[in-house]
Amino acid sequence: MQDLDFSTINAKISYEHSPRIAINDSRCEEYLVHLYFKYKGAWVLSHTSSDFPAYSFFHSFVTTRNKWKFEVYGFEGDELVLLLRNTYNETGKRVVFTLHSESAKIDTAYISKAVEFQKQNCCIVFVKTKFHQLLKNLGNPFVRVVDTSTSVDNIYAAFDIRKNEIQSNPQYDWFTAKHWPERGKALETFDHQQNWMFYSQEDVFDDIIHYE
Amino acid sequence: MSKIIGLPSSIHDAAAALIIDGKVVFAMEEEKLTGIKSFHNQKIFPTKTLNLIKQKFDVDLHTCDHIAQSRFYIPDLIPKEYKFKDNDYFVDNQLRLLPSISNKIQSFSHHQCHAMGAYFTSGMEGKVISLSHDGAGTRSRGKIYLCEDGQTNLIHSQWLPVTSSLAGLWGVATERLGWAQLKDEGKVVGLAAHGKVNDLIYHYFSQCSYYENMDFKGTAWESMFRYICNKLENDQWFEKEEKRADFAATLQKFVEDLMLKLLFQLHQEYPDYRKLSLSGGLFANVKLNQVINDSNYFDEIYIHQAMNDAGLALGAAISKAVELEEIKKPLKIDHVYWGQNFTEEDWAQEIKKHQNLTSENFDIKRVASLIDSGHIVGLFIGQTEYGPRALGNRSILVRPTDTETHQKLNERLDRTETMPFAPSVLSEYADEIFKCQKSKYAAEFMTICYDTRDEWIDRIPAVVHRKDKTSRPHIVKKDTNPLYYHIIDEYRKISGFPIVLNTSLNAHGDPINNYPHQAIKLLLEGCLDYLITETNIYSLK
Repeated sequence: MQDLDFSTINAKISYEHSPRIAINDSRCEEYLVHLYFKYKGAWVLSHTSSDFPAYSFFHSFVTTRNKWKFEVYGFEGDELVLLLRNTYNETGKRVVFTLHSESAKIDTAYISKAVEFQKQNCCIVFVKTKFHQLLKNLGNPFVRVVDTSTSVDNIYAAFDIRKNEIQSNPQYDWFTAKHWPERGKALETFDHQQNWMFYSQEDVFDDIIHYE
Repeated sequence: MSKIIGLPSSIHDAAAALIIDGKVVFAMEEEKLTGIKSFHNQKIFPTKTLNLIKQKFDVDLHTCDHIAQSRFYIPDLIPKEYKFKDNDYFVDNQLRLLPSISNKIQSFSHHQCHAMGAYFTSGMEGKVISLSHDGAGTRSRGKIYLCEDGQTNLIHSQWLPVTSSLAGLWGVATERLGWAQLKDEGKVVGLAAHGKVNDLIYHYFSQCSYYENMDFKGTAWESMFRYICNKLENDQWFEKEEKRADFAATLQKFVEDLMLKLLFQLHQEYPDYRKLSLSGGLFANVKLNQVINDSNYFDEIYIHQAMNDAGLALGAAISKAVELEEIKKPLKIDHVYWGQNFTEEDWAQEIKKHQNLTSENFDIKRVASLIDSGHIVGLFIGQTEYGPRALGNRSILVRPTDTETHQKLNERLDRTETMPFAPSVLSEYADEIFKCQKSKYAAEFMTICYDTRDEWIDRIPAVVHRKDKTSRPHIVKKDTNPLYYHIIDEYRKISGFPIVLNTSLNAHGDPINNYPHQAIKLLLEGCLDYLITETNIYSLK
């Protein structure tokens, strides 16, 4: 059974480009904040802060779509209590994909993936492309193809579809493994000073749709 | 049959081991050769240790048959002589090495090395559980193997992303108490015996980590523990000695409870397995080892001598030797004197440099009388020990009978030890002094505590914990280290005590001293009254 989301503090969470939390509440001077994602059926840690000040924010650098979960703890007297739980769920919400390719043909393929994505997740999708005039009819009432300059209100999650980079830190190699079925790929830069590898977002669009 | 060099992880505890034809012939930590204590994220390659192997056995990474490692070294750390060319970060590490090296490298998982290192040096026959646990391996915090007559079967791995580390909790606690992680954990063990378990703190710890089906669960254990420690710090828990001790005692109890839950489950599921071999940094906790030994789940336990990550070097080499069937069954190793030794000539060269030293010929009766008269005596004989314990070859000996010895030694060595000093005891007398019916083999390597028998507590106060009355004896056998045995036996003849205080030959913050010049420095600086070698007794003029 999934734990229900709730919040007893004033906090704002969004997933526009990456998970972001702002805590605007003075119940505690400092909070304990955890950001998890689902991997192989388990909630594993993406980020944590054990001294998160009140009236501050955090946003992750991880821009890929995951089943995210925020948890915030604080002390009430001597008792350590869970103050907030928020799980990523775009159902019924607005999701934006911004396409950065230079090819209408490639964007056509992406739009069909966006339609598939919309059906799977019952959300409202906006696809931003510089070829929107050419491709706008590929959408439907729930997948709207718009110009890259279009402003979309009330966004729940947004993703840039372009060549991207991913950290392959040894301590978090289970994380990169999500994108590299051959785990050895992540280990190529094992413990490396330049601990970043580039990966093609094209390869990862399927991963966005079929996240765990 | 072959020559296998073992290498450990590159994060800390650099070391190397050599197995020739299925026999362990060398194992040593790099820190003892560099003189710089290993610490977290130190990241050094065991160059000096490998040079020593080359010097002693004419074997190096080029000429050995196999290189077994617990994890691949950071390319930048690997010396140039093993590499094709430098710095192409995005090329597979293996390709960057010369074929003579890369073709014979084989990696074994961190915890496989720990667990195999322990089992195959345990000498245990029949059904054995081999358990490892520490901060983290590459993907695991610990592994459990069922072993029987040399066959091993992995039954559980504590998957890193969703499990917590009891050793990690210990490390963070060490840091919060103002000491250094991966160096001073033993001080927390010593402190714990002075405190009482606090229910609220125990409850906090339970929120960080809990036991479930062979795992210590708690994905966000470390940050939660740090957050709790922040609160405790605000509440001044780390300032007053009494509260610090309570914090440590609570942690000790919590760690013991979780480990016992795991062992209870193993006991229930595998009741035929009555022997347990242990490795990984957590089992440097000699009080935890005592609790495990005192439980009824196992008839015998054994802790690998180098339970820290330096033990991975030997564990990796053993894993390869087992794979090659050059080691088929657990070895009962007699000793861990596998490091460097020095000749009379080496000593003469060093002594020549110092005009203010006087020397007399080695005389065992004289050495015993020096100990009996309360002097601090450095003993430097044979080969350096492998592992964190000084077992007589690089030791400081003091009579065990004085209450104030702890303070005196701390002052002389500029140490801040809170752990009591430990004794070396003649094997024939161990039972008379300590309640050590079980797992005596572990005590040959000083990896376990025992309760002291009532009639001895007040007689040997320097080596008994003043609160819990336990001790961490090193049981000395005549055939294992004859010279050391005879020194203690000679002291027994004079004093009636078949036991001496034995602490490692080093000053504060240093690794166990390996070189003559280091030992001489201790003498010159007044840390020692006398320095004993196999041929001489040195002192200041």
